[in-house]
Parts: sequence; C-alpha cells; structure tokens
Amino acid sequence: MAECDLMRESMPFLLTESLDSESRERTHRHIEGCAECSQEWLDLKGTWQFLAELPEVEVPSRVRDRFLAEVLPPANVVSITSRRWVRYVAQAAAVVFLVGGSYWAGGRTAPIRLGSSPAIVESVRPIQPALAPFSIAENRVLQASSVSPNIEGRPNIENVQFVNGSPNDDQIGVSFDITSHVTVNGKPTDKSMVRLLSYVLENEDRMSPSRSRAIDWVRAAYSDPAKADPEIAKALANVLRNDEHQGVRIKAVDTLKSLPPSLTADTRQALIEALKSDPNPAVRLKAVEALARLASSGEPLDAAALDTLRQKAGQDDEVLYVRVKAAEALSHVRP
Amino acid sequence: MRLRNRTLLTAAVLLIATNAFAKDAGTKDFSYTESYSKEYALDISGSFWIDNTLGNIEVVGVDAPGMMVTFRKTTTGIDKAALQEGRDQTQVYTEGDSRLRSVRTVLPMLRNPRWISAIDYTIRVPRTVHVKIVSHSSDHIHVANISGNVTVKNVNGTIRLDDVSGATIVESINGNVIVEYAGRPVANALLSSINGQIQVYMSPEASVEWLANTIKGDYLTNLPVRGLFNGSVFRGNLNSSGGPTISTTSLMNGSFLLRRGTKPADAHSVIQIMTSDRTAPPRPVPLISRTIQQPIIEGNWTFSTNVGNVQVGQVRGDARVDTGAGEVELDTVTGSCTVTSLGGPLNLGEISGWLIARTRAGDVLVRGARSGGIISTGGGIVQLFYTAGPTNIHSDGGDIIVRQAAGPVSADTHSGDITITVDASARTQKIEAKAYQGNVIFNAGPRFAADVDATVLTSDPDSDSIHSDFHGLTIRKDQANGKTRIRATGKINGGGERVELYSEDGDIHISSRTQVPISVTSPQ
Amino acid sequence: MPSSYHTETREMKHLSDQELMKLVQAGDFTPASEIYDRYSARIYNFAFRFLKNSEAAEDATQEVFVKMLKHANQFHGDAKLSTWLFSITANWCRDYLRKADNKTKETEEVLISLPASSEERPDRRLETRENELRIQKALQVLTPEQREAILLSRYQGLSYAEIAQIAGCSEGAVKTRVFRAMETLKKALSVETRGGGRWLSAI
Repeated sequence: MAECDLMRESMPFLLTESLDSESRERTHRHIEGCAECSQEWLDLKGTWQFLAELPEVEVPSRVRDRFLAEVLPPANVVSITSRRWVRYVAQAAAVVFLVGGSYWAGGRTAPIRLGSSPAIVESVRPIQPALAPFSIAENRVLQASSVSPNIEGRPNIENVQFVNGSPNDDQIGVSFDITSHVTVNGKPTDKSMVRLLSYVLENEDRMSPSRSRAIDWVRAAYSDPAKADPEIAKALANVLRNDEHQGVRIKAVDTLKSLPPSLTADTRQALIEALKSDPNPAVRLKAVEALARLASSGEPLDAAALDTLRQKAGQDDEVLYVRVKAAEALSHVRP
Repeated sequence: MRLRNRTLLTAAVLLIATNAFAKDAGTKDFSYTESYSKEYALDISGSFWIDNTLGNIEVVGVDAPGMMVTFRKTTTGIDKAALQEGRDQTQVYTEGDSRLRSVRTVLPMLRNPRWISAIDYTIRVPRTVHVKIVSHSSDHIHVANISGNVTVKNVNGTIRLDDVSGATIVESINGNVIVEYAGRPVANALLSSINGQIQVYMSPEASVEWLANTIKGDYLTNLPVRGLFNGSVFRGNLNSSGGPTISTTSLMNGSFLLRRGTKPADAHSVIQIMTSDRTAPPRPVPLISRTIQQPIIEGNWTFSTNVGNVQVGQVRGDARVDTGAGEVELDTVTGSCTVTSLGGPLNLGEISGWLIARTRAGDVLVRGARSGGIISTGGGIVQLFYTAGPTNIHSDGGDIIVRQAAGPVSADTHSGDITITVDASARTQKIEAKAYQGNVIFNAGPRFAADVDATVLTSDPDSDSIHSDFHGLTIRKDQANGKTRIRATGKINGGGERVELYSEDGDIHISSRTQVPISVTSPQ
Repeated sequence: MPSSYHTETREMKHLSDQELMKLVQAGDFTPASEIYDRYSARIYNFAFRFLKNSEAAEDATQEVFVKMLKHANQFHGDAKLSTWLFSITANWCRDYLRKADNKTKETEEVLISLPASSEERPDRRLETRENELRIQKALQVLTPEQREAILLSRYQGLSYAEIAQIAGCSEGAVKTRVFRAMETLKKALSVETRGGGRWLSAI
C-alpha cells in the first residue's frame, strides 16, 4: 500500500513526462502490475487528455494596438492614426522598389543586371479597367481587391518579387512582369492575393530557384493561423509532389508543417505520398512529423494513411527517427 | 467467391431488443441494443472469416461441426432520428458456404457523426477450422481452443489467443497481443504490434526459437532462454533447438516470453541478463533506449542511446552525444561538442569549443559556434546564427543559412539556397558557397574587401544571373556542356581573401547590407 | 522607408528572447512587438482561463508587456523570458482576485473561442464547445493556486520547477497542487476511461 501511495505521488510527474527514465520505468511497472493504480492512472491520464479540449482563445487585436501605441514612438504605429497614409507609403514603396530594379540589386551602386527576356502578353485583368489609370506606364500598382481572383489562361509571369507587408496595415505585395511590371498589393487573406500566390508557386516557369524564394515568403505571410488558406496549402502540396529539386521540396514540406492543421484531405494525401516515396530523407522526416502533429491534434487518418504509417514504422531500412515518428503518429489513432 | 447463401441478418425477425433511454443523467443520448443469433453449417476443415469495425469479438472452438453466430448491436444517437438511422445503416452480412463462412459488419462509407454503433460478436466454430479476424477498434478480440491457423488484425484494443495450436499471425498497431499456449507450441507464430506489448505464455518444458525485434522497447523473460543479439534483433532458444519459431515484434514496447501462471512484472530484460552474466564471455548487446532531460551537467559528458530525445541546458565541459533516433537539444556547452544522430533534428545553443554536429536526416540549428566546426545533414535545413571559427557546413538537400560569420565559412548543399552574411565588422573573410540546385546570397558590409569569383551555371540565362552591389566585378558569359556559364570575377574594395560562390540553376546575389537601418521616416 | 522597417522586424524574428531583451535593456523598444507576438497568446490565454474574464485578461496582457519593458533590467539573461513573463502575469492575476470589487465580475462567463475552420462539422463544434464549458467550469472549482498550477503545466507546458519559481513555493508544493487539482478535475469531469476511450460519452 505504501508503495501505491508513493507511486501515486509520482503520477503528476508522469503526466508531464518529467520523471527520469528510471523512476518512470519503475512507476510504469508498478502501474502495470497493480489494478488499482492502473485505474487511477488511466483516469488521471484520461482527465489530463480531456483537458486538451479547452481551445486556445485569440487575443483581440486591439490589445496589441493598445500596447504598441503606448510603448512605441508614433512613427512606428502610424496605422492606428492614419491608415490611408500607410497605404500610400506601401504603394510608394512598391513603386520605388520596382524602379530600383530587384531587391538585391536595390541600391545606387550600379547593379550588374543581365537582361531579362521579353515578356509575353497575357492577362491578369482588372475587374474595372476604368479604375486603373495607367496607359503605357511601365510600373503598375494594383490593389488585390481590384484584380479578378480568376487568373485566365496561363499568363507567363516573370521576374517575380515580393513586397513585405507592414505589421501595422497588414498589406503584402507581389510584383512581376507581364507586359509591364505589375505589382499587386493586398491582404494575405484577399482571394486574389491567395490565387496569385498559388499561381506563382505552382506555375512559375521552370523556376525552382525563384519558387524557393516564393516559399520563404509565403511562409512569412501565411503562417499566422488567421491567414491560413487551404489554397496556399494546396499549392505547396503540389510543389511537394512535383518539384524536381529536393531543396525546394524540403522547403515546401517544412512550410506545410508550420501551417496550422487546417490542411485539406488533398494536402494530407501529399504528405502521405511524400512519406511513402520521396527519395530525400529530410522530406520524409518532415512529412511524418507533420502527420504525427496532425494525428496528435485528433485529426482522423484514413486507411491509406494508416497503412503507410504502419509500413514505415516497420521498414527496417528507413531512418529510425522516421520510424519512431510513424509509430508515434499511429499511437494517436482513434476509432 | 460464389455467394450461395447471403442473408441480411438484421432483416430477420428474431430480435431481442432492449431500449435504454437516457443512459446518463448528463447526456440525452438515445441508445438501442439488439441481439441475434443463428446457426450455420460449417465443415470441420472449413474456414471462418470475420470483418468488424467496432466492438468485441470472441471466437471459441468446440468439438462439434457447425457454427453459431451471436451478436449484440448497440447503437447510440443524439436523437431518435439519428438512432434510427444508425440502426438502419449498421448491418451484418453473412456470406459463403460450409467450406468458408464469412461475417461482415457493413457501415456506410461516411458515417453520420450523430450516431455511433458497435457490434459485439460471439462465434462458436469447430475447433479445427481456420480463423481470420479483421477489425479496426475492437477493445477485445479473444480466440480460444482452435487448432487451425489463426490470423488477426486490429488497430486498437487487446488481442488474446488461448490454446491456439495452429500457425498464428497477429498484427496490431496500438493494442497488446497476449498468447497463451496450453501445451507445447507446435506451429510458428508471427506476433507484432507497433505501440502495444507482446506477451507469450508457455510451459517451461516447451522448446521454441524466440526471435524478437524492437526499435525502442525491450525483450523480457522469466524462462531459461539463451541467445544472441544481431543488431537489435534477439534470437534465442528455450530448451533444445528445433522447435517452432515464435517471432515477436513490438516496435515501441516490450516483448515478453513468460512461464505460464506468471506476470510480466516477474520477467527480466534479456539485455540485463546477458550483461550481468559474468561467467559468459562478453557478447554484443544493443543500446538501451533512454531519454535525458536535465538542466546542468558538470564536467565532461558522454551519452548514447538507440532511440530517445536529449534535452540538456548546460554542459560544463565537453559533450558527446550519439543517438539512433531522436531530437537533440543542448543549450550551452562550455567545451567541445560532438553530436551524431542517425536521424532527428539537432538544436544546439552556444558551443564554446569545437563543434561537430552530424545527422543523417533532420534540421540543424546552432546559435553560436564560438570556435567553428563541422555541421552536416543528410537532408534538412541548416541554420547557424553565429560562428567565430573556421566552419564547414554540408547538406545533402536543404537550405543553409549563416547569419553572422566572423570566421571563414565553407558551405555546400546538393539542393537548396545558401545565405551567408559575414560579420558587419569583418574587413575580409574567406568564404566558399556552392549550391548545386539553388540560389546563393552573400551579404557583407559596404567596406568588405575580397577577391570574388562567382559562377552561375544555368540552362536559362535569361532568368538566372549574378547581381552585385559592389563595384569592380567583370562578367563573362560562355557555353559549357550545353549550359550557359556566367562568371563574375574581380577585386572588391581593393581585394582580400577569396570569396568563391557557385550556383547551378539559380541566382547569385552579392549584397552590401549586413543589417538594415531601423529608421522609419514620417510623412511630414 | 517602410520596407526597410519590415526587413528589420523580420530580422527580429531570428533573435533569441535573450537577444531581444538585451536590446530592450539598452533602451531600444523596437523588439516590443516581436516579444508581444511571441508571448501575447500564452499570456492572454493564461489570464483569461485563470480569471474567466476577457476584459481583465486584456488588461493583464497589456500591463504585463508594459511592465516587461519598464522593468526590463530585472530580467536576467540566464532566465527564461516565458517564466519571467508568467511571474508578472500570475502576480497581476492574484492582485486582481484579491481586490474585493472584482469578486462579482469573477463569475462572468465570456468565451471567445477561435472560429472553427470551415472543414469542421457543426456537431463536432458543438461538442467541443460543450467540453470547453465543462472544463472552464471545472477549473473554477479549483483553488487559485491549483488553477494556476494546472494552467501553467497543462496548457503552457511549464515544468514544475518553473511553476514553483512563479508561484513562490517549493516544487513539491506545485506537485501536490497539480495532484489535488487533477483529483478534483477528475471527479468534476468524470472522464470515462474504462472501455478504452471517451468517444461514447462524448457523443
């Protein structure tokens, strides 16, 4: 009985997995052999797991605004006082940026820039052409809200650059060459922006190097759960499936992993396929980590996913870490 | 298979139903339980298959022909309509003839979450038949007194075999597998679970060969087993050799070979037995899985494990960690640091001495390598925040990012981007970066001096190129092996150490910013 | 120019907590937003679940971060920023509860859950919502000390040693609080574990 008391006292440590391996082993052994403690432990663990049902609540954005307004000099929090101004600067910045050539060349020190090929005319059409006051301008800046989310044909867009959004006004930008150099600004959540970025990710011509930059940038713009978008995840899933460069696939799966688990069935399927057959161990490893994370958040796994995970866990020549993670993912499987 | 006799059991009239309302004071679920049983002809040399999703299964062999199927269907719905739908859509089919009978639970492909149903089966068959059971989440599957072959597959829940003497295959994912032999085992058994335990009970007079495998678990016994390890696989014999093979694979848990009437707690690890046997010559035994989580370790420290995570705050001395699989996290190491992993991410903080970090697959993050070192991964993203000594970084695939290089750096990746930013105060620094499929970005202060040799090899010279903020580079283009080679060479800021940059199918950017000014201009 | 400012805030993402705090200690408040972004959700959630009052949780979050900047010099580089922030938060919350006039507000039931993703089924959402209410209610049965210990260990993943530091008691005391709290929660929630899962009782 005294031993039971002792073991029960260590149960809180067992819950947080903070026992050293020896005591942990000892406690588990005891629990396995003692019906009463075993029930106690099951109840305790069940309660502990059930507590996970308490969702995380979102901090209202006004708290952030209030805090930053109090502590930062006004210039940095201009969005609170004058949103219009910020938008003006964002556009101006985008234009300056385009005039200056590429981001990297970016300065006044006479960049070495080897010529780019003549662009092909295609369409990313403004919905209301009347509102776009440019004629033969070389650089256009459009608001995503004024661009149709449906990209028609397969426009050959080139020289894609990204303009970072301000944390204050939540705008991001993509610029590229079609006939003229076009920059589209908008919120990451604007449907047009999402479509455009998915298009860049999936279709940019033979462009693994640029695609790799696109992924970096998409990760920065979309990892916030509030901005997560299944279309972006889907585009990444297609990159994971199709890009011949393993470095790009690693980046794609790494980014998928960091996106909140609002991944669609198709995205999950891409992870399963990557785990099953990607030749690069890092891709498989990140795919299985993503699946384990999904499974532990209670997402159901279908029969094909189960089979792949089971096969991976038992595959002798697979990287051991991948096997362990596959087993871990399986341990979360519920009816 | 030809269907001679297909009966929809639920349509049958014989129904014993109990209607249990409001089983719980708190919830208002509606629940309905119905039972049914029927006899079928089944040859004593026939086969019986059952396929269930949720609910217990019990198959018992008797010394008589024919088969008796009894099942209990419990449906729970959140309202009456849901309950009725659940009852309608949960159906039991029997198929086959007296050679092969099969029973299946049929549920719609997409079950309405407003109801849930489970079917518990009890089946009586001739003891000589072959039995095959497939289920998803049976809490208990029990097979008793069968001399034919037995195959069982399940995901969750315990599988228990009592007195089964035919060849046996059992596969589970999360459940325990318990097999008890009444007499001496005469046929092979293949028992596996990924996260569950395997327990096999037999008489001490039995003769079997025990073959056990695991990733993270252990092999335990209280029988006089003698054997050897081959890697992590244990091959042992109980009594004389020549008996059937009992193969147990519990990837993440323990395998037990136990004397009948004893408990798992009575058994000892084979590894312990072998290492404590002083009279025997030393034999190779596998590493034991263990994890470590500790804030401070005084003095030099060596740790190795086949599977397990390592998390240590500070090592006041040299650190040496080997792991077969797991995450390694070391915050501070005051001496040198050698970490090797066969797979898993490495997360290292401030390393004062020489650093060697290798993983076969996984990301590597190092905050500070004060004396430089070697970092390599078989695939993964490498990030090094600060290095002050000569540093060599390699990835078989994945980006390499060095944020502040105050020492010479050589980096290469088979596929991925390389970004190297030299320390802002560095006047010159030897740097080498090779991305075989990806971009190279090199950042240095405006007064950084070097002999630059940058090459892009590309099949698309229109989009891939070399960009530089620094004056003094000469660009040449030529064709090599059907590809275009763009090469920029020259001295920047008067010349200095060699900076060699190489990219295949990517861009090279040589930028003069190491930091970006904080200033934000106001509109006024 | 804004774009350079953003690059700057992006750079901040790569700095460690300690590095950010060094900047703050040197009088540069630019990292404020980065630190806020790293910890505000955890601070807010802790305060919200502890006080069960969204208004108070907002105040707590605001004031904790202001305090962090004001008293940055009290932060030692070898400590974890999270532990320090939670110490400030826990103090704030205890003070809040102590103030008699807040007693009435304590029973306020404000729940602002994250919007459910579109893929989620409405019934599942209802179920989650019901569970949330059950848990929130059960948490209120605990003593403030127990609640603090549970919130920090279960939801914020802090070790008992860290919680001891925050609560100003021994590690053993924290363990006892967690144990007692779990016993109470177990009864209050009566989670079914017999029969291998809680799905049945959840539907």
